[in-house]
Amino acid sequence: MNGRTDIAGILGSLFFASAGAYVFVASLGMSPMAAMFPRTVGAALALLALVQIVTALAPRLRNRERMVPRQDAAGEGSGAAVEADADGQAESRGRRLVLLATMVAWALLFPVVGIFVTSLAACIVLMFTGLFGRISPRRLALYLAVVLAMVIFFHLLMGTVLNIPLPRGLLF
Amino acid sequence: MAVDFGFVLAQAFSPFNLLLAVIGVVLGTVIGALPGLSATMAIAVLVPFTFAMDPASGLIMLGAIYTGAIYGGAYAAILVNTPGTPSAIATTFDGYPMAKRGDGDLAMTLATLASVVGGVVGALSLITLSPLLANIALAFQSSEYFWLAILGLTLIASLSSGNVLKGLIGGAFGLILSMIGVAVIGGDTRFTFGSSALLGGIDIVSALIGLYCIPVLIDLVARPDRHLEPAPLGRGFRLFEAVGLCVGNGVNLLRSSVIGTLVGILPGAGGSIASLVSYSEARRASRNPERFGRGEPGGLLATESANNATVGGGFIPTLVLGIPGTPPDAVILGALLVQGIRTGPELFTQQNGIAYIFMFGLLIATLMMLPIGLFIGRYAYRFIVNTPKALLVPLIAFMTVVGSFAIHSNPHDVVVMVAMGVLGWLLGLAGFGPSPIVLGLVLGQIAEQGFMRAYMIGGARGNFGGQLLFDRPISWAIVALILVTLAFPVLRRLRRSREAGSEVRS
Repeated sequence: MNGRTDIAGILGSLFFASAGAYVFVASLGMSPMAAMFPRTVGAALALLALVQIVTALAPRLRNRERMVPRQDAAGEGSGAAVEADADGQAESRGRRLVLLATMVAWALLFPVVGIFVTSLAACIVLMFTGLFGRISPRRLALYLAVVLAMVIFFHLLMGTVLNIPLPRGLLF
Repeated sequence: MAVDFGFVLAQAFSPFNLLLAVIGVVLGTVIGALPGLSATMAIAVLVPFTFAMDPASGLIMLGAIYTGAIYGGAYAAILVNTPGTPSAIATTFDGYPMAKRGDGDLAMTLATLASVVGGVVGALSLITLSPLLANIALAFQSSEYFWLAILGLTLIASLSSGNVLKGLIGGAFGLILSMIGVAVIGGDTRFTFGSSALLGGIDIVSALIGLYCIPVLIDLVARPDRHLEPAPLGRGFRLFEAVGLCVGNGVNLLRSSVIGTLVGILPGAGGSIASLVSYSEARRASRNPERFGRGEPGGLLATESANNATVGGGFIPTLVLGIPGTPPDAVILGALLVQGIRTGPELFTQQNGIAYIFMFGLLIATLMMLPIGLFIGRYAYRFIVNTPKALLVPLIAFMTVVGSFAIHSNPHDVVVMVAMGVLGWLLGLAGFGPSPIVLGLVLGQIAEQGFMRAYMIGGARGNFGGQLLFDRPISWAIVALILVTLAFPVLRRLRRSREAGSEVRS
């Protein structure tokens, strides 16, 4: 890992530098009392992010930088293993995207459609997202029953026991 | 106003609160036993359920979840060499070698006993030291609170992640997130991008749930391997053998518990730091330091007593100064704000002794950890090991959604939770951890109020620098601590490079 430029870190720092610069510029249009703190913090954030970018690009310091290795990083292996690993990475990327899309859709749709229906649908999608390999129809039915029971349990707990007004939406 | 301790004890020992303490310890132990699901996440997910309770009961349950989760982290650390929570990282050093050689049952009993001892020392320190510190805290003015918030951010930046600069950037970004909405001083609408939903700012608990839970969910579905591999269990509890070892390591236990409490008091430092510091101290003081790392019970006792002592220790700055001592305290601080409880010195004289009810409740929860840890915890672990990912993922996801919705019954909080989760995941890929961002978000208002009051008072006097720093001895002391905190990693890096250089030469 040593000697490699921390590209992801640099991109992250660019995001933070931009955010700091935006906050600084936006504070120029505020009243003095509301502007002082954002201006100070925005300038500090942009400065720190720029220092981080310079540090990541400086070859002398780059070799010393300790980076936490990710568990899913590709390891060494034969050509076939590398190919299988590439397939695995593509699959895991797909699963991550499905999870993210499900969470975003869940958050946006549940007030409109209803919390019970969206939660049940999202939980079933997520159940399949967390499912690896083939399973028997009996086990699949069991998993679906557990997911249904879980959604009913939390729905009753929140709506009936804790008296939290749950959005019913178009369905329920 | 004097506190009625008869009322406090009656409240703390009420059957309902005792039941909540038991439920909290069980839930905390179960969640803490899962690698990746930290104590912070356990509290973040379960905190909305306490909003329906009265503040004292809710706080007792949160304290019980916290202490149970820190303890539960030891299970996976000992049996599968995977820390259930970051505070159990050092537990793997000797716990797993013990389990590998067939002493896993003894190691788990030792972890339970050490956690109870550490937790009791931390809780007693909380009960005895908090009122004293509350009096001292009255000497703190706005500028000191500003510097305390900065100290918390620098500590978490230097201790929680490998790169101090990235930690500081995360902290500053958290401060900016805290500015969204109506300004605390000045009243301007800031950074809402025209959205009325952002006028109230970003809810701390929603952000916490998203930042800590969504990246865990993403990692869970990314790999096909089991989230835990079960390890064979040996003979019974081996309680008497464990008690004998604890007596033999009495000084080690006490020292580690005190270290845990003190590290817990430092804003930003958590159980992971406390257990690492106490482990290195136990090894340094031991007659057989070479046994550490090969299954030495003393190492396990040191780490587990220290990380549970941080629970009580961490609550001292949380309750006295309103500055979270550890990341889970930050979540509990958010829960306190939702409950309408203002932390600070007046908490100990007002609000019907709620602080004392909570502290005694924490002590009771810690003591209950002994039977629960011995009898229920290990079976809960087996259950978790056998829970397939296909059920675990929707369970956690559903809890994050209903949990963030339950805060204010507002769908907008769920959107914030998911958005913060996605942002936290992306920033995690770039090496920016969630803890500094969260602490910046939590401490943002304290920092801004302190900074702006110093600005206004100093501006009226024509001496802003003096009001903020130069005329304030306490500020000087805190700034000195900040500089030491920032200098420490640099010195450590220099020493390492010097050692590496001398090794190459030899």
